[in-house]
Amino acid sequence: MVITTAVSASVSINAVTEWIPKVIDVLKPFKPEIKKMSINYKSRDAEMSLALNIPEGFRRKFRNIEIPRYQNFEINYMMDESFDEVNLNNIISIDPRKINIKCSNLPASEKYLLNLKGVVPQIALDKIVYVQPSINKDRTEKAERYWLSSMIRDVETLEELWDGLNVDDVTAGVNIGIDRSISTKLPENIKEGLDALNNYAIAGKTGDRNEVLKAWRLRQTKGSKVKLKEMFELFKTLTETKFFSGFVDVESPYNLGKIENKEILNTLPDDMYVEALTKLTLKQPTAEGYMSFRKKEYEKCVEKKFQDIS
Amino acid sequence: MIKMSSGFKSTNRVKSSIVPWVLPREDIPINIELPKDMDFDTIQVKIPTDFKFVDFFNVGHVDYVDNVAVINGINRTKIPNTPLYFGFIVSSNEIPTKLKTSKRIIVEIHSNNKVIEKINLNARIFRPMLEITEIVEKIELNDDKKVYKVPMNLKYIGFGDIKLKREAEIEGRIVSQGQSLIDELLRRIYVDVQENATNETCENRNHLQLEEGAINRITSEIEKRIMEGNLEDVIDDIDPDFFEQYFTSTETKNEFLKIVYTRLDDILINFLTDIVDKYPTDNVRLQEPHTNIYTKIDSRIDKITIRVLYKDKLDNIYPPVEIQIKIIDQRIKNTEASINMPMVIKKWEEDPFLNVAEMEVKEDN
Repeated sequence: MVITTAVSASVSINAVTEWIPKVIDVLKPFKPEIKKMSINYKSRDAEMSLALNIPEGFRRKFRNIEIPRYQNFEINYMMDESFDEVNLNNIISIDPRKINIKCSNLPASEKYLLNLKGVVPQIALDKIVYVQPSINKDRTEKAERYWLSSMIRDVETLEELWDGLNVDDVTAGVNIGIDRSISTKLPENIKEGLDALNNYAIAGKTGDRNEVLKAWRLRQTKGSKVKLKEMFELFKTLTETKFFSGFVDVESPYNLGKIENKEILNTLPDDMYVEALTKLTLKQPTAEGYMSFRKKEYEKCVEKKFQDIS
Repeated sequence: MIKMSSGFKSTNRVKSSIVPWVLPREDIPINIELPKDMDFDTIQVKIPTDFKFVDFFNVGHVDYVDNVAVINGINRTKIPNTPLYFGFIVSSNEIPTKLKTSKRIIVEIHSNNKVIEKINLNARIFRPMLEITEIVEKIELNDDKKVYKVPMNLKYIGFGDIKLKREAEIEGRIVSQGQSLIDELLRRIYVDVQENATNETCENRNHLQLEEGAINRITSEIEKRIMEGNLEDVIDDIDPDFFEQYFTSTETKNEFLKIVYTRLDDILINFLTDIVDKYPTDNVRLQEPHTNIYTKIDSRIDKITIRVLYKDKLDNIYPPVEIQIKIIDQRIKNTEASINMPMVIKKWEEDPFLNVAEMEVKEDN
């Protein structure tokens, strides 16, 4: 039995982790110390703070420091030891392959804090973190729930690079189907109206003139009772983030993230996409929990709102 | 808030976690936390023979012997108060015949050729099943009727949402077809125009405001369908030039789009009735709520096979449910006419598993 993926985790994490040692290596004479590395899983924004020792002697000796570039990573800011932001205008110059720091122009300070910022590709993130929500929900009498599981794939390699790695907003996205919750709570008169409209279409298929006329009459009487405008306005309310979030819980260490209606016309109820977010660190490398949708309560609310318009 | 229960297990020294339920072939993530000071040589993970390893996290080298993986070392951090953990993902290879199965996964921690810790975990797999509980035995064709309903009762049991499709076959040929929303709409326009009832919808309805993108999406779908042709399959005795004539010039096309526009409310109603029809029970979604058999039936045909196909959310395809219906042909004149047989689900029963996270499942190794 041959499994190729199994041993690969610690061999190579990704290009980001290959780039960081390069940066550290270049900065070695300045005793770099990583203060913070954080990645936002959702936005894929990454930030790294490095403390550098550049005493006056060094500043005179090394006129330039050249940091290799990685994709879109740029210097975000630089601070001196009194936490004053360094004006980078006369200090930084950038070309496609490297960032140059002109040391001789740095303000007098022993230590500096260098902050780099960029966007990590999704494929690289997936190699750092594993995220999985359950594919199918479990139903209880009152609710539907999904399990959520997230893990850092390899702490050792990451630790070598970043002492304080944070991956924020690790996102597990779940599609909660609400179309049935809404369709089953439609009041009888609306259902009858919809049936009348639908039967008319089916009657057309038979080619039987009497059937068609009968169905047409029903459509005129029962079908006209369907208050479409109010109904579609109500659908909008029922699928609004603010309203829907009131029925979703996520268990710690997860928090509720973005919620949106997935229907293409943005008019009808379909699946609600709900995100659960968590933070993974070297101290908390795994996260498990449930997301639950209080379906019964939601349906009760839907029923009441329909009664108000029928 | 629902509390995690059977998902987590722990002994005094070792904390382990396996997800509480999965569908067949779904990834099963497992993670294990050991005491920081634990010394060991290897960790062995034994999975059932019909399982496979998918991935390992935070481990050193892994060797395999059949269904056993030997982990040589876990990656440790130097940071105080950080857990010593590793994780792995396994999955089952087959679709079980039982609705609920529990398979044992054994993790052994070895030191000096001795097992110092043994962790038993259970992968709990749940599946859905569908049954036809009742269906008409025979259909008698005669000269007076063109529409013959095929009523059936269905029952859903077990776990997992399914997508369901019905199919009919005569001598190896699929003769059923789902009715798309767009087909329904075209049929309605056709019938309306034939019945001269066109104007009522335009004038008497309180129109809804739809975003522009939605209207464009619908109109382009309609045009695509007309261009596809074969409308005679869905609209009986259609004049083949009826729709095409609207697409001969920009002017006539605009005229047609105006007719469509006046029916946007109808389209939305159709979408809505479709939603009502699409979800007969909590776990079942009908791929084509209105499935018809629409075909010419040769007089020597004496049976038709009805098949109910279904798959779960992971696209696992389950063995279809099949049944045969006798055809008794008593037609004398109209033997060449197409027969329309809407497959109607009269009654739905369901007996779904609730609360599988807490459910007792007998181990099955």
